Amino acid sequence: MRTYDFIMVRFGELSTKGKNKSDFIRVLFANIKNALKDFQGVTLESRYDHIYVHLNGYDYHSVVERMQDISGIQGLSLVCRVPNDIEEIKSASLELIKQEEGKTFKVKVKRGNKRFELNSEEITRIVAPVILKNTDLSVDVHTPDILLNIEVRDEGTYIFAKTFPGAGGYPLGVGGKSMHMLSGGIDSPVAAYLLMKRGVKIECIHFASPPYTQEAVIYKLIDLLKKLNRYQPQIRLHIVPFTKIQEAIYDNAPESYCITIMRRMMYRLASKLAKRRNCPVISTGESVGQVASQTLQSMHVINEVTNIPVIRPCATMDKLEIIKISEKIDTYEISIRPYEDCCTIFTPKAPKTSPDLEEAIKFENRFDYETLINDALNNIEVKIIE
Amino acid sequence: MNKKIIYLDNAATTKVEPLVLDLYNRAHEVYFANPSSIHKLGQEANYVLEKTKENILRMFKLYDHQIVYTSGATEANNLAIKGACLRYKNRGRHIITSIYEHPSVLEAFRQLEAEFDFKVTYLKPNSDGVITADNVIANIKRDTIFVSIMAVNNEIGAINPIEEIADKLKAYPKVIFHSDCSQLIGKANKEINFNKIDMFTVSAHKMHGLVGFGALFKRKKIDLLPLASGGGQEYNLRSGTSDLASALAFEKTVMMALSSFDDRYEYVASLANKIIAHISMKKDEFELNLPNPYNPYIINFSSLKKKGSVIVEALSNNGVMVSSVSACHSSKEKGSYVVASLGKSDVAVNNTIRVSLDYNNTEEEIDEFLSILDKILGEIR
Repeated sequence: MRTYDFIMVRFGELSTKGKNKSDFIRVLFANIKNALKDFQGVTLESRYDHIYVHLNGYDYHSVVERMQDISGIQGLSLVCRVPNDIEEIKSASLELIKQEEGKTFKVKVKRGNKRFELNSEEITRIVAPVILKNTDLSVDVHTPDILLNIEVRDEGTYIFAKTFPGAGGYPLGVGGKSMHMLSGGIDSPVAAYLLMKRGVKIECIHFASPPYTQEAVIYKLIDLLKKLNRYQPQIRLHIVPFTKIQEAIYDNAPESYCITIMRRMMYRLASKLAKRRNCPVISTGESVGQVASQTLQSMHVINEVTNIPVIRPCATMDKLEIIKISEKIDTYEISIRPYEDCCTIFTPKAPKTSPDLEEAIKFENRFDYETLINDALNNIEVKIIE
Repeated sequence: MNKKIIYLDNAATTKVEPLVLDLYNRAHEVYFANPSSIHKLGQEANYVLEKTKENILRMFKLYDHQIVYTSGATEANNLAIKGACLRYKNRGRHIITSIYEHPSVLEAFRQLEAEFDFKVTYLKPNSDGVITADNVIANIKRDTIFVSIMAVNNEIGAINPIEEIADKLKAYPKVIFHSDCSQLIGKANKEINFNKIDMFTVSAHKMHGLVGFGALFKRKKIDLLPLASGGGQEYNLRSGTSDLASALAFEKTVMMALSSFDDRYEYVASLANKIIAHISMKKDEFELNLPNPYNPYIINFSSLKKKGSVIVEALSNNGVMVSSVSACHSSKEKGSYVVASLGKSDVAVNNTIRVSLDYNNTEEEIDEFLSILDKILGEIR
C-alpha cells in the first residue's frame, strides 16, 4: 500500500495578512517544530505558501492529532509524492481515492510546472476515467464527497485526498502576550484557550489567600495549565499573596461591597504585573451577568481602576457553551474539584450587583491599599508550567 | 516549606516504623517465592507465612480464631460484613450497626440494604457518644443475624464496650458480632478479651505498619462468602498471591503495638489532657466533642466562630497537620456525620477539627501546636 510522504499544512487567516505573512509563517514553523519535537525523524520544510511536515516513514495518525491543537493551521492534507509521470499519477490517484469514503468525487489539477507535457485539463481527462472505471464512484463537480487534488510541480507531483481540519486562528505568539487572571474555575481556562487559539500567549496571575484558600488549589492550577500546555508549551504562573489585602477589605468595607473592591484590587495587581511583564493587555474568564461582580455595572466600577484593555473571551457565552469548550480541552473535570479559591470564600450573602463607583472609592480609601499591593507584588511566587 | 512539621493526624495514618520497613525490605530478599508454589522455596515461604499468623494469634491470646490477611481495614470490613451476611442470609435478614461507623462499614451495610433485601438498624450513640450494649440488645429481632460496632470511633475517639456487647450477644447464638478495631489496637485495647469477639478488623498503617495491609480475625467456625475468588489462598476466603513480606512486617507491627502499651497510653493521655484543658478554656471559640469514655489518641472539637477548614489550613501553613472532616466546598457544605450523631448544632457539625496523637509526639510539640492555634485565632477572620 502506498504511504503518505508528508503533511501539507494550510494556513488559515494568514493569507490575508500581507507583509506580516512571512513573520506569521516563521512563528508557526517554530510552534510546529516545538510541538513535534518528540516525533523523531519527522522533519519540517517551509515554503512560501505552505509548511510541509515530512513523515519519513512515521505513522501519520499521532502526528496529525498533535498538529490539530496548533493554532494558526486551517487544514492538514496527507500528501503522496510521485514522479512527474502520467502513469505514476494515474495509479497513485486510484490507490489514494480508494482509501477514502464517499460516493462522489472530483479531480482538481494544478500545474505549477508548466514544462509538464500535459495541461491541467488533459490530466483530469486522463485520471477521472481511470477512477470511474475501477471504482463505484461517480463524478460531482459541485459538492463532491472526495476532492482529489493533483499538483504538478518541479520536484514531483503531489496527490492528496485526505484532509483534516486544523484548530484555526493565528499562530501562538503573533498576537502578543496577555496577563491572564486564572482562578481555577471553569471559565478562566476556557478564556485562556480561546486567547491562545487567537495567537495570544498568556502568563497567568492567581490570587492566593491562605489559609482561607487551600494549598490544594495550586495543584489544581498546575493540572489545568498542564492541559493548556498542549496549546502553549510553557506557561508562567504568578501566585500573588492576597490574604492581607482581602483581610483589609473585610475590615474596612461593608459586606456588600467586598467583592467589588476585591476585584478592583485584583485588577490593580494584574495591571501592574502586566506592565512589568510586558503584557499590553490583561484577560479574564468573566461572562456578562454570571455573578454579581460580572454585571455590566460591576464591570464598569471594577474596570475603572485600569486603563489597560481587558479581554474577556467568554463575555457573551452561556455557561453551557463555556462548559462545552472546557470539556473539549479536558479542563472541566479539574475545574470542578471542590476547593475553596479566592472567589468562593468570604462570599457575602447579598453582594452588590450595581455598585456605586464613588462608594467603592470611599470604602477602599479607608486603608492604605497601595502599600499592600506593592508588598504583594514583591512577594509573588512564580511557577513555570511546561 | 522548611518549617518543622508537627504531625497530629495519626488517626489518618501513622509514620511507618523503620524496623518494620527494614524487615519488609529484607523479607523481599529472602522470601521472594510464591507461598503457593510446591517447590522448596515456595513451601518455606508458606511455612513462614503461617508462622506469622500463629505468632499474631498468640500475641492476641486467641485460641479459636484464624487470620485472613487483606489489603487493609476497608477490605477486611467488607469481607466480614458482606461475607457473613450473604453466607447466612437464610437465617434472617436483619442486621445492626451504628450510625457513626467508618464508611467502609456503613457503605457495606447500605449495599446489603439496597441490593440484597437486608433490613438495617443504625444505632445512635448516647449523649456520651457511646453505643451501649443495652442499646444493641434492645434492637435485636427474631431475624437478626449480624451486628457490627466499631471499638473506637475514628473521628471523636469514643470507646464502645465491645466486650460487654459480645457478652450480652451470647444469648443470641444466631447473631455474629464484628468489630472494626482499626483505631483500637495499640491505643486503647487494654485488657480486652478478643476471644469473645467473633470477628474483628485490624489495620497495619494505623499503628506504624505499612499501608495496604490489614487483617480480619475471625472465629474458625464462621464461614464467609469470599469477595475475591481465585486461587484459594487465605482459606479460600481471599484469593490472590500471598504477600509474605507484608505479613512479616505486620507481625512486627503488631508486636511493637502491643508492647509497652501501658506507658504509652498514660503518656498520650497526658498530652491529650493538655490539649483538652487548653481548648476547654476557650468556650466562646471552641466546643469539645468529647465522648465518655474516650480514647486519648483522638481529640475532636468544633470551631464556633471561624471556619474549621480555614483553621486546619492555617495550622497546615504553620507546619501543624490536623484533620477537618467538614467538606470544604462552601456551596455544598456537608459536615461530620459523626459529630452530627451526637446531636450537636450545625455550626459544630460543619466546623470540626480532629487532632490525633501518637506516642512519638512530644510535649514541646503539643505546646507549640497550642501556641500556634492561639496565634491563628488572633489572625484569621
